[in-house]
Amino acid sequence: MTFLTPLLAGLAAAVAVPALVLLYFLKLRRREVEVSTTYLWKKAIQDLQANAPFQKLRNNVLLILQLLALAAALLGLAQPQLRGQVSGGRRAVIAIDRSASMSSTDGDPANPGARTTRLERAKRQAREFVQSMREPTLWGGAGDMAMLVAFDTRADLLVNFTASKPELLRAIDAIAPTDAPSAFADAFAVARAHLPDRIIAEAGGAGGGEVFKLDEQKEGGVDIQLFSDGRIADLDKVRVQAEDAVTYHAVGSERSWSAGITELRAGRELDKPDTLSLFVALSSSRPEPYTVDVQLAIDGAVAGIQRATIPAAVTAELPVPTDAPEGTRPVTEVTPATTGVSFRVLRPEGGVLTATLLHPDTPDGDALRTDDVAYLILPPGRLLDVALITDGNPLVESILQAMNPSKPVRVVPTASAAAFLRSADASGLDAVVLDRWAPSAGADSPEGVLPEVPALVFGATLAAPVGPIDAGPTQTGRAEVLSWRREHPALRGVSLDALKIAGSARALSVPAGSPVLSLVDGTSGPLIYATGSGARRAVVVAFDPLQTTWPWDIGYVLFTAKALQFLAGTDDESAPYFRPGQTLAQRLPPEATGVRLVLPDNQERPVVPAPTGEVTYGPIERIGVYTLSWDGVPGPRDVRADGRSRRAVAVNLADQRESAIQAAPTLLFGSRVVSAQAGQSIGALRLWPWALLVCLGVIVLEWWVYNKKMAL
Amino acid sequence: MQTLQSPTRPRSIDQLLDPRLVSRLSQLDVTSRKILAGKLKGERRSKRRGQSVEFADHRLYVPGDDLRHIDWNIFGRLDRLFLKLFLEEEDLGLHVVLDASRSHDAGEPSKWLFMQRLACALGYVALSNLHRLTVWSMAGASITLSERAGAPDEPPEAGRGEPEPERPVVSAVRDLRGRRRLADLARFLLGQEPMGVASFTEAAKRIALARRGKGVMVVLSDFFIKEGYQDGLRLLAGRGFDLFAVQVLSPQEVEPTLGGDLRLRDCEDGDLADVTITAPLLARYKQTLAAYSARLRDFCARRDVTLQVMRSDTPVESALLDHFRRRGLLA
Repeated sequence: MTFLTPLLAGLAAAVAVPALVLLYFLKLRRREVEVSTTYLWKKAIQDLQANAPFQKLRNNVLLILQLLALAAALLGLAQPQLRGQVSGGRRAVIAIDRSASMSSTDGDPANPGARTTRLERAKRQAREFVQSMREPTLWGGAGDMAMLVAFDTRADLLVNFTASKPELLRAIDAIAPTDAPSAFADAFAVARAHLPDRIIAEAGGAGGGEVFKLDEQKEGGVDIQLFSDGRIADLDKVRVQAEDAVTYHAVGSERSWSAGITELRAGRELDKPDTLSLFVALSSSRPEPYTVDVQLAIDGAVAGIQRATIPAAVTAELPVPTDAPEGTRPVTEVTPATTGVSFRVLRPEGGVLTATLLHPDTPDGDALRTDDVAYLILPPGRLLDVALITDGNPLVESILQAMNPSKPVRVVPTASAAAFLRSADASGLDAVVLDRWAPSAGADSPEGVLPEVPALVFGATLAAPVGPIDAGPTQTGRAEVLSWRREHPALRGVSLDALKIAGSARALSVPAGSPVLSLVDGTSGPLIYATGSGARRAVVVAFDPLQTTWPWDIGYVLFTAKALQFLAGTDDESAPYFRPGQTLAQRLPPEATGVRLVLPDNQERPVVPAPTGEVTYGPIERIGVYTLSWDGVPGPRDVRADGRSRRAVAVNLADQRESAIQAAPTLLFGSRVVSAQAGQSIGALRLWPWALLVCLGVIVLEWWVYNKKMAL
Repeated sequence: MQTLQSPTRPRSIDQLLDPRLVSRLSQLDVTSRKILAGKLKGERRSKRRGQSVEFADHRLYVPGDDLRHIDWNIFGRLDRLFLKLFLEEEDLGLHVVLDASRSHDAGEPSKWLFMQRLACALGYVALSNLHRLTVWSMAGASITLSERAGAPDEPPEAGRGEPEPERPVVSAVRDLRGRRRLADLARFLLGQEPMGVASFTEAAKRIALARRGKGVMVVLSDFFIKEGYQDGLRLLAGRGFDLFAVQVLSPQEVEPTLGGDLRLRDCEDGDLADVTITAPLLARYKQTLAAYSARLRDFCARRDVTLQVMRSDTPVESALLDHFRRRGLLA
């Protein structure tokens, strides 16, 4: 037990106790009564009126009771409390994790039916911590101060260092959960940034005096009170110094688990754009296999349900550093198990796809619901209208024909290519394929050699500045593939391991500031690159595929189709969805006005677009479908409804680490191990109300004893 | 037990002696457990041979005897002179001693009033039976003893609350005999007022020295005497007096009704006692009072003194007819 204001109580005791005892020695103001003799009375009270004062006190129950009541009151004045920190003048940083995993409903393990979220629990603990902060005493003692930071992927400084408990409590109450993953580095940096600078004195001032200046080092360490479940992604980036103190208040259960959707992809078959393929990746952190139904809904209508069994997750314990304190629990790392289900539905139109996990109703079920649903915005299926500019390439022509069997491929000879590209016919195309031909430099194009139609170029390269610097064919004409951007939409699913290039390689180099993005790096520079923006953009294969082994590889067909979809903007994977914590950025038609953003909870936010049509909003806090609407023409993927153009944007958690919600008992900051104080009430148990209650009880007892003695 | 701020005093003999009680008292007489010698001829048989009509014995005539008492019938038969002896009938001296210290002015009804009435009733019985009655009042500090028989001392003129005038230790009305002296008795009793501190031992000494002959002595007091009652009682009982001690207590002294934090002031000497009246203290007080009375009773029993404890609310008739009769003081 500790005392917040022992000095005050001591001083009061020094005054009150002698005063009370003195009062007993002082004469009472008694009513005078004349009696026939005092002889008998004196004889009767001779025991009570002993001469020695301590003998008088010894048998005086009332005085003893009053001293007891006074002692209880003085105890209350000293503000005793169990647990809690009492060092005066400390400056603590309260960091509260508000990430998606903190929405897990295992905040109160003792009462799982209450479905208390971890954030609610953390806020309650933080409130207890604030309540336990020492207040300035009447005698000038320094009170505790605290700063409040809420963090997910970003850190918000809610309250700077203050001793005002109401302000801190209000701010804690106002913290709302988000669906973003958690990252602590920013919060820690914010905390350190608000430490006072260290002032150092150096000799050499004017007149031999000292010069005071601020040191880069901060004064002392930061005292972090971290309220989290420990599911923090970037702990290894948090640079905890030796003088820093991190107290980890863990919330949540180590046995909780969650199954969630970690990826959602949709695509249309190249030759059958009516048919939609949807892949849902699932993960589970449950230590046992878990069977769950996955429901697919399109625009709210259920399109299919599939059952999936996710294998058991694997939990591994990381070795405890040798300098960790005795009894430190090992850091556990949960590797969630994954699986996936795929749907194949006939859906030529676009719509909002919603994948939902239908959990069996079990008491110890999934504790996190945020990752149980994922959204995807599906553009309408469309056959590409592509023209082929070639002097003869049956292979590409057959690929294009397969992609759009509805009409024959328009083939334009290279001789009339320049005129064709400037014609109105070309402006209506989704893309053009330039086979071993590229617009020459000097063409009357405002952006150089790029045509006004998105172009896929084979066997040629674009001249600078939109293209790389061309040093001519390599000496051998050969080149090897070194690496490629596997995540780029044009190369997704394409393997170039077996690609052999012979006789057509050119030595290219990309200068600084060039718009060229190399997609495939080879020994002679970029082999495939993307360039341009807006309608004037192109994917350029700088070598002639016909002089490579590529045409015999299915990857060539895949690349051609993917690249054309990318250029035409019909690839479903170009920007499938956003994640909470990211900034929602969209390019709207430049003439769009009156842009408004409707959040998943139907709140509306006005958004001001940039002159180029870029709109941003964020960081995104909740998952769901966000809808941008504006006055003006819609873009190619937008729809028009109620007189306004609309674009839906999906936001999903899709974070495997965040879905693994087992509360971490130990955090590993680099080499610093911090164990949780889970299960321990950090809030001070204030005893002064009990002391006052005891005081009241003793007073009542004293009253009773007095009346009993007085009863005649 | 508190002293009365404005006590009611009897103003006439009727207030002292209820006329209805007089007829009952006429049938009573003062008795003594001892055969005591009287001073005058009286109605009480004496141990001495005297001149009553009641035959006692014969003895041989010796020259000088009164020839009127020779039994001539015996002389005729035996031819010897025998003298007829008759029992002597003498009077009985009754001394009533009242402790007139201030402490007796306490209680409801007042102990002093009770003592006045009791003394008056006893006195009436004694006067009715031609006994010599002496009433003593013990009060004051000066030793001025009124020796004038039948002349009661003048009652003090000073009222309560004023400095008390110097009073004699003992005042008395002495040797009253016959009913016609009842008025003197009443005047004396009405003129006494309890005040001051009784010097019991000194007063007893004065009484013991001043009395003549032997008789029955009734001491009326509460015996709350800080200097101790032992010496005084010893002096009074020492000269062959048949001593009755009557401890008069007020109901408030027996069952106190006080409460709270009090400063008790002794009405006699102004002694102070700070007390907080509690139930245990009251119980202890009653134990102390009982023990005090028990010690007094033991003391009296050892010295052949009869002790009677009476409450001041006891009817005088009951006190006389029940208590004193049972104790042998009255018959």
